[in-house]
Amino acid sequence: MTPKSGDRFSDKIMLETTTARQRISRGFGMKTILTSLALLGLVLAGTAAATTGAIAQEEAHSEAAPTHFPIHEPKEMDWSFAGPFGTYDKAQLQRGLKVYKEVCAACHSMKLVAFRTLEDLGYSEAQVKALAAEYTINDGPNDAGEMFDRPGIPSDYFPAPYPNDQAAAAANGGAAPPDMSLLAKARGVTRGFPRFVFDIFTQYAQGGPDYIHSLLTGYDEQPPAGMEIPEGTHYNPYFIAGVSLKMPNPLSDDQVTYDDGSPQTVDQYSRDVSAFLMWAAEPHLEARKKTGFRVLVFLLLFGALVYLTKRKVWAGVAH
Amino acid sequence: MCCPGDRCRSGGATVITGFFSAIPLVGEWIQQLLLGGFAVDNPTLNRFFSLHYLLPFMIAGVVVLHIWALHVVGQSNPTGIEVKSKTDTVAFTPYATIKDAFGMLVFLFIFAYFVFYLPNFLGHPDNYVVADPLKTPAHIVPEWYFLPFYAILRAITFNIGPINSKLGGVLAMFGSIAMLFLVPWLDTSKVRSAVYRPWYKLFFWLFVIDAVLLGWLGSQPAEGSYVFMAQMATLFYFAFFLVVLPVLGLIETPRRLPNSITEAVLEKNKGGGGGHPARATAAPETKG
Ligand code: HEC
Repeated sequence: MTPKSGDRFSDKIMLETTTARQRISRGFGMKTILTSLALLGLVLAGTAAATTGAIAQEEAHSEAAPTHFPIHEPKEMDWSFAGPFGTYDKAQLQRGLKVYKEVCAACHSMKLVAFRTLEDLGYSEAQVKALAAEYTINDGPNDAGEMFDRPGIPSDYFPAPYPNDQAAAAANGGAAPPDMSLLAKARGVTRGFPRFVFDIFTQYAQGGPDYIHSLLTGYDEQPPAGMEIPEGTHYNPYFIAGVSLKMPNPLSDDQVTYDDGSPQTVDQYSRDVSAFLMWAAEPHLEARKKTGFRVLVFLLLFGALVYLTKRKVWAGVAH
Repeated sequence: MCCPGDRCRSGGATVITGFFSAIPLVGEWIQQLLLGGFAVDNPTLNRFFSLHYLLPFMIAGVVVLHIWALHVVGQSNPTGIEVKSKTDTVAFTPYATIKDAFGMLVFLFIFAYFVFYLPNFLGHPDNYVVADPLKTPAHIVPEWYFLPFYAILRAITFNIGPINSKLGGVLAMFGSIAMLFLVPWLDTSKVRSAVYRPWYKLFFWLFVIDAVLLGWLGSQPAEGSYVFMAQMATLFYFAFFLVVLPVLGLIETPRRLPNSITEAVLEKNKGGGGGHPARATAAPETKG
């Protein structure tokens, strides 16, 4: 790190000038360093206290006019795909797909997900074909230069409910429902220090699904007295960008029928659709983690061998 | 900050090219030249993409220069003392080779951990939102390694004579990098290694803390007490280069320097009873 100051100064001169003063300065130097470190610590602690004070003051701001969003942090759920050996729960993804198809798809597109990829959810080729055929796809132009409708095939992508973003916004009070293909990775509440440090070791990477689940289950809560909710919006303390959003509560108990006996509650629907959206955003998550484990084991073993070799090589040399 | 194809990056491209618009007279023209238009659009995407695929090749070129330099001047060493005799050195292979191989494996392990288990840890969710030139995100947060410089950019909130705060911020930001190039002339100390400079060591670690602090401030919104803290941290950043380096080199009394690398190594090993004193090393020669 220290730059070379050139060879114009011989080390010898250095030695002569320094050794004489050395004895005196050493004891003294140490003490001053310690004192200055202590002083610095005080100053830093003072600044930190001042800032936290200021932040606390901001937060103490009236409950009816919060300045930091979301008002509540997302609830951390247990996800089957969390951690180094996480895998998707296929039954859950199938339920999540059902919720998306029957509820969310009325407003939200999912343009980057193709029907063929749904085989990942445990469906057979024939099932995927049948599922794709339920949709009408606008295709063309044909030889006559005209667009035409046809039933979907597995290589098609989920069609969007609105022809364009403007139409989507116009139909939803001015806010276009975001595309859902990557939504689970496109939202995440800042974790803040020191939590983001712990996240490295716990491998917390479920901020997206946690957020979506909390948002969908957060409509029950009542706004604090005196809070102004803009016309046409819905209070949700988990919304990342304000006190309320344009999306009305999309879910209610028993809205979607599950064939596998899972509870038909808003909480369960939210979990399932959040897991499904995570799969949509990251279909290769399982392969990534599986490969990662092999790579790390290899690097660990190889690293240990190289370390032992290094010790052996350097054993005969003072260093 | 790569392709301006997502929301965060297109905001980034706007900010980065915006730096150039701060230059008096020709600024606006340069900004339009870089963007290939009046706003971030396809030409910008192409330009930034070309730049970013080209950079790795340029880095590969610098690696060649690095190997050339290694063969000409040899490796540096923690004592900062010139090689005096054969006993000061060992062969590059196997000594440096095996040591670096181990270091690389440690790096790869940490790197692979992030790649496979936390690929989005250092990213930002906004990177998954499609860019919309009409909507810039509220807080643009650059990549983590840009954060200290971003904090410096935003710390200049005041005008200095004819220099307005925008140009001042840009100058301070580029100046903070330029400082690194001036270090050989700013450092007046005759001792090369911080090992023998207790005061310098203290200031060096303060500088490290300052850089981390700036990094954190760069990720916070530029408001309230954050601005003041960023200004103080920026002040120390520049003071380290412009005041501490030149002045400390003149007034600091360094500790006793060993006569040679061999002596330094033997001294260090005296207490612990290290290996055989036959060949001591801290500066492996490059041949091999
Ligand atoms: C009635 C139409 C409608 C339905 C049905 C609907 N949404 Fe939305 N959604 C919206 C609108 C509109 C927005 C944009 C809200 C805003 O930005 O104010 C939105 C936004 C969102 C957001 C993003 C919030 C943010 O942080 O920006 C999520 C997540 C979401 N919806 C999830 C869902 C899920 C999951 C479902 C299905 C269970 C669903 N939505 C059903 C209209 C709908």
